Amino acid sequence: MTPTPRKTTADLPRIEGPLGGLIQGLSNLLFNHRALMLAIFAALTVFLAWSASGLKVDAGFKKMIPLEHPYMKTFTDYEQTFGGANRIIVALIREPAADGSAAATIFDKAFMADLKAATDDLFYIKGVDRPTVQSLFTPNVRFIEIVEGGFAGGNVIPATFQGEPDDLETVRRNVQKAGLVGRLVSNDLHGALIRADLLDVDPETGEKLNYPRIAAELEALRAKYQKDGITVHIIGFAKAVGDITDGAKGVIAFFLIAFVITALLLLWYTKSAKLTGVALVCALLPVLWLLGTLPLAGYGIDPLSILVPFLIFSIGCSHAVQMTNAWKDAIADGYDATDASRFAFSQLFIPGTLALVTNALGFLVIMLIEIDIVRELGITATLGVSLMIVTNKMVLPILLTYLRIDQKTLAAKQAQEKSFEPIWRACSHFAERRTAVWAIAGSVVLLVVGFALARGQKVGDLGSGLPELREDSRYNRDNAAITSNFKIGVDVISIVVQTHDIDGACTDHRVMDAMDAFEWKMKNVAGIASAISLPSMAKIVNAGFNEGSLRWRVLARNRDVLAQAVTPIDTGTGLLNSDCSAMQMLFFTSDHQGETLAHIVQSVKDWNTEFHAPSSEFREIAPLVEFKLASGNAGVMAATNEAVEEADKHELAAIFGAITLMCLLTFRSFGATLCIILPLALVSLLNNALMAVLGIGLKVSTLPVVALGVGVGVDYGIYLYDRIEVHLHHGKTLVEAFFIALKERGAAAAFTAVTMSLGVATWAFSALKFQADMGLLLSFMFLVNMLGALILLPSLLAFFVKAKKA
Amino acid sequence: MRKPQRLMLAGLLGASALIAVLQVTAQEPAAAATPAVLSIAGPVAKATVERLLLNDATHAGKRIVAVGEHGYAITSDDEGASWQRGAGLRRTMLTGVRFADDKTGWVIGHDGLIAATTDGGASWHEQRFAPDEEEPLLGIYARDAANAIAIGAYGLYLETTDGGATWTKRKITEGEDDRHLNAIAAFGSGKLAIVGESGSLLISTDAGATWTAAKPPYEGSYFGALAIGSEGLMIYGLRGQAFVSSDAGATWTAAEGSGPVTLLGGGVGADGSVTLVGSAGTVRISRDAGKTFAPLAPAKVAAYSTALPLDAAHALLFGEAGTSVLELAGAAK
Repeated sequence: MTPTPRKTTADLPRIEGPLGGLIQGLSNLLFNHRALMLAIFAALTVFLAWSASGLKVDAGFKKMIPLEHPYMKTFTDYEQTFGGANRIIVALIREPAADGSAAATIFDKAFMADLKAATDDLFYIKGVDRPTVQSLFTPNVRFIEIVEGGFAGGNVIPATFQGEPDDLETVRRNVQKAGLVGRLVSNDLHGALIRADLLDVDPETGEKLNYPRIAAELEALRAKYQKDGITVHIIGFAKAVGDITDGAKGVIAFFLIAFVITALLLLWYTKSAKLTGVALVCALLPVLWLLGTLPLAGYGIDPLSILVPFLIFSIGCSHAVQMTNAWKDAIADGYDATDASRFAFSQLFIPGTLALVTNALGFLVIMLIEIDIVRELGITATLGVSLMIVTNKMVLPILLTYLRIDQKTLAAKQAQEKSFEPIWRACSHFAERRTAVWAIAGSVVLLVVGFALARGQKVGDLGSGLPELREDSRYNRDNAAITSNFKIGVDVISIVVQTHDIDGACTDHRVMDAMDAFEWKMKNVAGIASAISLPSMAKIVNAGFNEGSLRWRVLARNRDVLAQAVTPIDTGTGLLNSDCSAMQMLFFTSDHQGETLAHIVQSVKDWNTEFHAPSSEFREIAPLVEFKLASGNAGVMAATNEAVEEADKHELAAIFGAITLMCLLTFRSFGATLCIILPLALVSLLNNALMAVLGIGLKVSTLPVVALGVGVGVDYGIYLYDRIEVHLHHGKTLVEAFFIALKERGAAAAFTAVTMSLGVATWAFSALKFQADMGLLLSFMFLVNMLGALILLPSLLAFFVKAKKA
Repeated sequence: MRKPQRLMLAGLLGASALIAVLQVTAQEPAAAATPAVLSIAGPVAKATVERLLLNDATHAGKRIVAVGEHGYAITSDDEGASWQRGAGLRRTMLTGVRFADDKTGWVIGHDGLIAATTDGGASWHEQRFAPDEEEPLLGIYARDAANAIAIGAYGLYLETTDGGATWTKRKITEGEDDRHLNAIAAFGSGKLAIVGESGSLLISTDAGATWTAAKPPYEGSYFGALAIGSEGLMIYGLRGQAFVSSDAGATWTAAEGSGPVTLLGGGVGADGSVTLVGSAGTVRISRDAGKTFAPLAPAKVAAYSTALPLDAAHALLFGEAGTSVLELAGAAK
């Protein structure tokens, strides 16, 4: 290595461009008062660290739904009226014997004792609405049979129950009479369940329900009774929230893994423990600042936005690598640490800030999606990258001025860079037209294949069970066990029938008959498994009043007779409000796939059109009755799917629009902009194709992926083109310009892509399905966007910037 | 140990039903303006049949015809494997169907509905629709293409001698007796039996010209009557009570093993086996002309309205979950 002459501040190249003066000023401010500046930043860091300790995990259900969607208006309008049905179900199921013979039935002394004890335990969990606890052992579960001249009834488990064979036989008969098979007793009589509603607010203390505590107590219940061939299965919103919170806690572990991976890669890449340390500190700094700023801005962190700190850390590393790289080059060039920092700052402030502003814009676009949890993700991410302009473009260069690097490290680093050169040489050939043609042809093939595959992309969740958790998670296995052993539906879409100016709508045959006709229509729609509504219940009551004859399962035309059938159904069922001006119809769906829900929603819309048509059979009553979409978990999903699908279109247009604008403003070249945008567009399409192939639906968690991926992926193009432009300007050929740009920034870009991909890829092991999906897709986007910048960008430039080459 | 508790509801039942009846005449006239939307012929999806409440079924020659809610009268020519819907019926709950021959038959239903077919159930023509009267029809007997009898709630009795062109009301119960008449069946030679609410039992030995109240063996409600053998009559109903008479209702023998769950309908196979069905998945079979019954386990626990024996080993079940095949061979313990 030839010894480099020492250089001084005077040797620093003049900062060019319209913003040169500004940057020079900023540079002077930072480096001439570096101790003061560092003290200010340190103070800020201490303050934000203190603030970050007050950060709350905030996993509200309402944040996850598109509240401005018309269906969700129905949901919020009637939420109080019909109650949330915050129910938990605990099922005790007997396992088949070890020798493979079928499981014994529940009519067994020991099982009954367990069921009774478990019922009592559940009863005493704080937050359980005690009168709602139901199992074979609770007094609210009775059988009623029709006898001569009336009804007879009693408790399913008689007061004298001792568990003797006679008692068990009586219980078996009563279970049949009460029609409990499928409800409290499993279809095959091998299991029984306990259900209870939870109180959202403790009536004594006024405290909100503590979901994690309830979930923990339910888990303790499981531990107690899961023995002797009995398995315990627990489902319910409270349990789900508990499991999701537990899953979100796992993020800390992923963060540590990502941190270690990044540190090792940095060490290998920089060959310097000091540089690695500085880069890591500067990548963590925006994370800390972000976590400190959120509470100040009144935000918490939720299971979706908890991933943002990762992203910020990764992006932070990426920018730190660019900065330390430029600084190290300047040191190698003979500058001292401070001047090298000045050099790196002046070189990178513009493209770095542009890249970060573009990132911020990309994340800002996410806020177009009218779902709070996604908006907060957008806000958090935007805030994070904005803070990075300070931490990575200002704090880092100041820190670097204090760093000394020995010649040995420098030599090792330069040897490493030398070893990369053949790769850059190979890549630079893509800037030649004859090679570029092949790259472009390959891209066109990918485009066509991607387009064909992307058509298979589905909206909504594609699995069964709770979409937030993995299909093989404990909760979803419990869910599957309960839904398969009992006649219990967990996916429900509810339609609210709102009447106007009808006195006693639920005793008006015309209204009830219309609802009945609607229910029958819906029961014949593919995807509807069963239905519960006031008319269908009233019909059963009416038959009950007629000695159980099925021929009387009708809605009487006579108001008084109809009233007699409706009166026993109280508002606690959630099927009607107190003056029955609003009635809720529950439709259980066979699954919650986007297509199923879309078809059901369309069928409701079709009904509304027919119902309100002038030729309608119900035209007399139609103006006074509305069938409103939609509530229930499947209703929420349907609305979310519609919002997500709608947002997807806007999001793509907005992100690409924003990036195009930024590139046009910076590079003032239409061709260059196109060369940067096209690879990103191709990768976005491939991302959609990948989603279709992997069976990942477009949903709240995967919607921001394209914006995040494109927002981050554009960095590579910007950093590279920034240098290409300079070298072209100095009369280099495109191939040469690209080769030099790669030498200067390619390694850092590739390194960044790999680091970030690995970092987010760790999410793939998260217990939360949406984190896993996001991790996989983001990892793909980060990596492939880098390939796009290394291969497709020069290939396109080969055709678009011909004029400048000459 | 089990102490039957009469609920308040139970006492109110009779009273309110009575009040309802009395008020019927004074009530507002039903919406006559609503246009009738009639059913259109076409295949019925399997999923639809599974969700359809079916109240009654009969043979029309080889064809099976079943009727139920939402104005569904469905026919099958392949023993229930596939079903076609009959045209021309409004959305009324249909309660009964009988055929005089393989082409001519009637359906009855709520709103006093009677409709007739002359093409084996492919299309139906409404003969009577009286929603204002609020008297559902519950049983139908078709002697031939001209003569038929329909019975129903509150002692309703209608007959026709002109194939249904005119249906004439007649009171066959005594005095104030307005109990529901639930089922009508022919037995023996030219004899008819009507059974109904709270021990209602009427016998005619002259094909319906005159009716005589008979003393019931049980004071609870009956939901069905079946001809057994050449002269026998079986009646059954509430709490699984079932009785057989071989002397036109003069004396009765209680069947064994038919209880305790309410029986709503049934059928007699070509081999003489009697299948009775009812609430909560109850199925009982007798192979000794109704003296003793054994339980059978249907595939689905649901309320069944009737059973139609197909052969010695199979019957079709009808009820709240549409129709399903019942294996007659595997009588449970």
